Amino acid sequence: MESAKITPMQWFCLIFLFELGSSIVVGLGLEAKQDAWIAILLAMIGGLILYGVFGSLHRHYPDLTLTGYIRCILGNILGWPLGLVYIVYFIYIGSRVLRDISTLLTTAWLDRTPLVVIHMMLILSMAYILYHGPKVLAKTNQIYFYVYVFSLLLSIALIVASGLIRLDFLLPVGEDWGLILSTAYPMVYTFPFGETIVFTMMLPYLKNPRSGLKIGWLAIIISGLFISLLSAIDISVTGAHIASRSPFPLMSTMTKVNIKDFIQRVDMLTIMILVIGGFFKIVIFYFAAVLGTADLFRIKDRGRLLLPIGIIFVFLAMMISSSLSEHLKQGLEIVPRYLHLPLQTGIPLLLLGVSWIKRRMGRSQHPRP
Amino acid sequence: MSKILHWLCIASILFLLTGCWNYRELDDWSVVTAMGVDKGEKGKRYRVSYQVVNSGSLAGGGGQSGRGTGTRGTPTVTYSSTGDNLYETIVNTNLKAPRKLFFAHQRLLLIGESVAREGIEHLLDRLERDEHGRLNIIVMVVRDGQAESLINFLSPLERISAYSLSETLKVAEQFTGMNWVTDLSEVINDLSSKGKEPLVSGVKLIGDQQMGDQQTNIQESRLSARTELNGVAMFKKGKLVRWLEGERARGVAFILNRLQGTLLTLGCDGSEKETVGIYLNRFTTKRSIRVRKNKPVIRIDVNSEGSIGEMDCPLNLEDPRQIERLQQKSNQKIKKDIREAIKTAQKSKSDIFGFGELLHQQDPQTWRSLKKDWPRHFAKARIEIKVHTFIRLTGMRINTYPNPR
Repeated sequence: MESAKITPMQWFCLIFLFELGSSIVVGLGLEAKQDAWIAILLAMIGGLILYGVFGSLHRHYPDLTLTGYIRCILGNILGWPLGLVYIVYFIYIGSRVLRDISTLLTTAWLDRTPLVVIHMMLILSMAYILYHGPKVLAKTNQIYFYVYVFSLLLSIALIVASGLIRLDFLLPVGEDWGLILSTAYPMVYTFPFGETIVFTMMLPYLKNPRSGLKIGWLAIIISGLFISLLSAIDISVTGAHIASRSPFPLMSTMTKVNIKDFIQRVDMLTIMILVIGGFFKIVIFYFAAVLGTADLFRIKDRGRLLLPIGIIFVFLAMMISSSLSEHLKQGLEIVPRYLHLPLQTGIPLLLLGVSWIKRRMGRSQHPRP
Repeated sequence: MSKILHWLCIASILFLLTGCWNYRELDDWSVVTAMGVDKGEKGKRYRVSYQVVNSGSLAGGGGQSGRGTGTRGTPTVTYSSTGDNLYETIVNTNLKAPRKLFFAHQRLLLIGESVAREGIEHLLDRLERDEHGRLNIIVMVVRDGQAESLINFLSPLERISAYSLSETLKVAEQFTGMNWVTDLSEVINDLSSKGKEPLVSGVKLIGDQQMGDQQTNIQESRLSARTELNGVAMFKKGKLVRWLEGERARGVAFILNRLQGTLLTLGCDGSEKETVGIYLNRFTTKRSIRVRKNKPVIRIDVNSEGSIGEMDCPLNLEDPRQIERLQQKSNQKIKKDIREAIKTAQKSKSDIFGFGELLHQQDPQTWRSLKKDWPRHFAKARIEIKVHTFIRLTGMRINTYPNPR
């Protein structure tokens, strides 16, 4: 394992871009209609607790990644296959995000470009970043963080300045708490908050683990507030009716921007937000998959894994579903329940429990894998 | 060998860097500025006309002289096609137009009255589904006529008549309060809400109908064919049911809090010939709704401010009591407008004010029980109106000039 390289500020940027990534463009939690923003805030609380679980696992095994300490806690026989499951999971979720991004790009902009081309372009540039290791990833991410936040704030400013916000679209607040709760858990809780599990693969790279972990909390809270704010903006501009029918609500919102017939048609900002956010979300899944594979199969030179795994990403994202409806159906109904919940919440809790019992029984001497 | 491979790899990246997969040149497109939907012929459902910018005429027109345009044709060109849905007409248009239609700059959607009367429920789907579509397209209904005639219309001042029309509407919203801008997202939201019906401004082509599409029309100072905003179309279940005229439409604008400016003309004491014009330019309307014994009670509080704009009778405005009397009169007038607007809507059981939506926002529980039968509940709702008008200024003079005779 290389020495720690990611500064706390970079850690913050990584989590922030990861969380906002695809979630602000696809209009999160709109099943709860005008109360989507409440559902997001509720789900964020669960996300914070989950991050605490990952943090305490990390404290017990400070220089191991998830795939590493699974084997320490559950033993090689159970731990190794489970580690493999996680790698497959990271690749699968990463390709889902890749598909999200390319689908939105083709519907909104590049209507004649084949998906495979978009996938390849993105994955190739990601592979190049990862080839240079976590330090370059963190630094690139930090640079784009500023671009991203700037475009985001500019978009919000333009929307507000166009006088598009209609707060009455957000009324009545808390119309159906049952619906809000069922939207928050498991949907919004697992995507994007539960997905922070991928960061367990990168925690050992933190330069200053203590303050790094702490700043992670802040990153989740701030990104949660941003996602909530943007979903509230989407609803208050177009109304919950239109927003919930749109696969890409932020785009519909931005098309309405018009300041004195002078500043208008600023949807390029949305595309930037979409591509930057999506890129850095996928690259983290990609990196986690590479790290995990290198760990499980004891491959020293990570660079050799980049292309094979990248190719899996490109083609898996193509084959994952045949249409947008199928993609959404899987993403909204099947994946959260049967993949996200057990792998994001179930197994980490189990790991924490087992490691706690093991230490209680005084047998914390873990065999090195 | 490996060096050659190395350079080949680098060279192949050059192909990726061009980014031209989806390239479209500007001259591949026909920029659509307005779209007019009429009833179709020969068994087809719609006949849709597209106003397309004639970029050659705009670019080299030589500014305001208008002489250049004569040789290069009119600033806009119309293509019309029939089809059973909007997309079919778009595709069919490409049998006639040399370039692909491009909708990102569409400003107007005009709906012919006959189509509006038959219903516009799902007419708008294509417009919001289009990846270049904009939610802020302005929607208008063409009164007593074909939308096509307005799409063909050539306008002075603004060379693209779609822009001319949308600017007219914006100015009317600011100064008359009898018409206002309704955009696509608003209409779609209203159509999909149970508690609000859409309202769409009307426009009419008046004068010599045949002249509207002639270049000679705009070479006269008094146009033989002109456009005029006329009334507001009231919808119910997606169908146009009736028109609200002038002051009644203004009553609606008062309730919707959409007013930006309007002129109240009041009679002077004793004489109907002499008038006082009060220009109002600040408004706030607060609305609330309660349900008492299954009967909705709607309360409307209007506050408005303005100044004397014209007075052709010898009122003594130095006397504050006189101003107070004018305020009272204005209150009565506004109240009457509002009451008539509501009565009209209640008569056709069409909740154009969104009181149902208001109830949904303020009391979702009650709304759930009333929403099924909302039009009926709305029709028997009790209305309480409170109006406060403040006349703050009198313009550049206080009293009018004396008339010694």
